[in-house]
Amino acid sequence: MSDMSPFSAVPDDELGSALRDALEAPHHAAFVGRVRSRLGQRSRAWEDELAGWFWQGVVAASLATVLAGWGWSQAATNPDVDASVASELLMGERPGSEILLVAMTEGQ
Amino acid sequence: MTDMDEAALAGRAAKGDADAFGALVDRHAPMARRVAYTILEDQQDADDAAQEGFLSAWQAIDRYDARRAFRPWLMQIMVNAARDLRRRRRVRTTESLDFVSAVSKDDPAKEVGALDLGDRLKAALATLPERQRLAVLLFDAEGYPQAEIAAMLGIPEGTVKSDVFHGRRALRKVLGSVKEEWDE
Repeated sequence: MSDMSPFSAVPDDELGSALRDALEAPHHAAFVGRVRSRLGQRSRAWEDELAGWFWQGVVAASLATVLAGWGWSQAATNPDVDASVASELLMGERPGSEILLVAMTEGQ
Repeated sequence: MTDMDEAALAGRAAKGDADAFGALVDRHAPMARRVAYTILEDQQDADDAAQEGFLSAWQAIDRYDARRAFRPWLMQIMVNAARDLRRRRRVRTTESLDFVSAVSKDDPAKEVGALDLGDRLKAALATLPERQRLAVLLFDAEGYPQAEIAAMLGIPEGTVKSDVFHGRRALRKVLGSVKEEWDE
């Protein structure tokens, strides 16, 4: 056995070698094969990040679509738009409004 | 394999090369399994933890700084994986290796002697606190500098020195007694 002091700051080769032998796990190749076979099943960090962004993107696009649809439907059914055009025609504020007004009343 | 080779392999692995990472697994599996065993004191748990550590490293390989040594980075992950498994030990699920017989029968007498010493050393290790076990293993068996062990375990360097001292003292008693028996 080595006569090294326990205080020594140099590794004890004999003890180290005995420890490595004592803790040597069997079936190295089988273990390495097992880990290698799982590498493909485990996604990488950047893939996880992309996957996270993908779903955030889907949610954002869905929200944008819903908001755009809601805005368009609001604009299409807004009664204020029709009322303001009719009042402008009646007030004669738009060019050619007299002709339109006559055509509409004659049509009735 | 030099540090530069390892950095090159890690660089390839960071680009998604699983074979390059597999070469690193092949190289570091013995050490990873010893470190995991030292924490968990059960080979099956140790293998599960070492596997989890390697898969965590694979997932995080693009965050590895190639200017620094690969081995301490990996061992830090291994220590964390083993400690994490110890916390979850009660709900662990076991997975058996597809074992292939690897026991050499060339020299049975020597093998019995080696097993005897190994078992006694394991028993002596089990009597030590986890930090002392790790300190003496990482310093004497794996060759890490004490400052690096301190950084890895998140403790002051002086504590590592003290742990190595106490761990060595206990393990040397075992080594000494076995050697005396062999000499008789």
